[in-house]
Amino acid sequence: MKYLVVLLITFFVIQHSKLFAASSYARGEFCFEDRLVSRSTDDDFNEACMQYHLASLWAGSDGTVYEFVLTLTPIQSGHYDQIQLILNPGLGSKPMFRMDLNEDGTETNTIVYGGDTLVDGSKMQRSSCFGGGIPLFPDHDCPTNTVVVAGFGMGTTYLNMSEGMETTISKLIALKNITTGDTIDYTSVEAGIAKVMHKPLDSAIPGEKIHWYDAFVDTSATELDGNGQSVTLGDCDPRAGELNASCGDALSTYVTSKQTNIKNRAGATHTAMTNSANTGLQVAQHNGTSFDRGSTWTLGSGSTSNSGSGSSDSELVSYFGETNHSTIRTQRTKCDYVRCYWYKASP
Amino acid sequence: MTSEKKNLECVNFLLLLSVVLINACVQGGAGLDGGTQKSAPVVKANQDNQKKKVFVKPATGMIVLNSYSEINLSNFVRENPDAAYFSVNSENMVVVLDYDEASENPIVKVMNNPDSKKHLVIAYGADGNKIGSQEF
Repeated sequence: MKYLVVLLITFFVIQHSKLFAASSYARGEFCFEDRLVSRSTDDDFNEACMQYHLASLWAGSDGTVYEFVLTLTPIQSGHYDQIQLILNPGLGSKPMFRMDLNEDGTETNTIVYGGDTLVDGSKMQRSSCFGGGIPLFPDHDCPTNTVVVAGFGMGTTYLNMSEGMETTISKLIALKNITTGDTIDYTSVEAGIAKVMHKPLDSAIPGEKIHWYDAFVDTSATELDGNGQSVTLGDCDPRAGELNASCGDALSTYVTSKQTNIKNRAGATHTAMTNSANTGLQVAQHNGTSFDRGSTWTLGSGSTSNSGSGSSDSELVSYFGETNHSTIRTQRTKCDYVRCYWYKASP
Repeated sequence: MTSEKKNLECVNFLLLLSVVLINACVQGGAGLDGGTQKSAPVVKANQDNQKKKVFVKPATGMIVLNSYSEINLSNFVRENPDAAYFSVNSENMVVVLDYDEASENPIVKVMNNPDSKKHLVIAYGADGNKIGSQEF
């Protein structure tokens, strides 16, 4: 009998513990140095750079991620080594979906695990989809270049939103350098033996072999830190030592708010946002029988700049709260999440 | 054990079982991964909703050039104790809704928009309907 009482108490504690779901949407740019620091990196962060959109459902109590949909659109591929974009090995054996649009117009969902390849470096160049084979064009862009990957029913504390969006992205995506054998993943970044960069959507990209600080920063400029103190950016060169919080604040504000200035600097280049990246996640709604791509929830902004009209979070909630979500969520394919307009070229 | 005691044990067991089942039914509904979803807690603190910039300490090799605001939702959550979801419609993107177990204060960290600092925070009930909103 006493065991039943213990069981009952435990049950009530679990039932009444604090748990509420949180849904969130984030977008930005994520760039890799494709070699370990020990191999003398140039810190230009242009070897592999992509725009991302991430919608996720997670526990507000502890940040545990239960579900995510991630799109990745390569925007810069300045690598000399042979590289692959892979799912972070730390994700382990949790099954996820990689969603593909094939050249014949069909779509396939492939179950993938941590460490599996998402896209080969040879297909990360924007121009690659316009040459050879059967060209497929979405709305003025290349659909084969946008990678969609999703995880449902994850329940993993490895992905923990309370650690921040950047860490979550870094724990999802890694880079494998086939030439050197290096893997640039969250573990190596956390240990400081590899480097990645997070920055706002539609940002400038440093020119080849130009350190990001030289490419971006006007050393005479000042910005406020988190305490409202003015910081001269010339005092925040990361090559002089690890950035402190004050410099981190000031540089972040500068890069977020001064993109136009940065794009005009001699050391910076800029790749215009791709159309598929602009549209964010366009999730086809289910009409009770099938998915209707003419009726979508827009998770994220459809704007062409960071100052756009913003995301519609009610639609984010609608997506995660749709009728029979746990059943139909695994049935969507790539073009149920991103716009896929294509035509087949005449032979 | 006498038959009376056995009967008493049996009655107790059935009572406990019924309580467990009733509790499960009361708490039922859509939630994370098909599980049970609870209302957000009523927060105790009554703090202001001032925003402040926060530096997100990255991993050693991670250079983060996004900037953030932090919104304390204590008052808002207290005014919407039945909320199951809190969502932020920011002109830039929501990043993290953090949760401080000690103070029971939900905190939203939002990636800054250089052109607008306004964020519309929305509370949703477990059925997905909006039950409150406030601009910060």
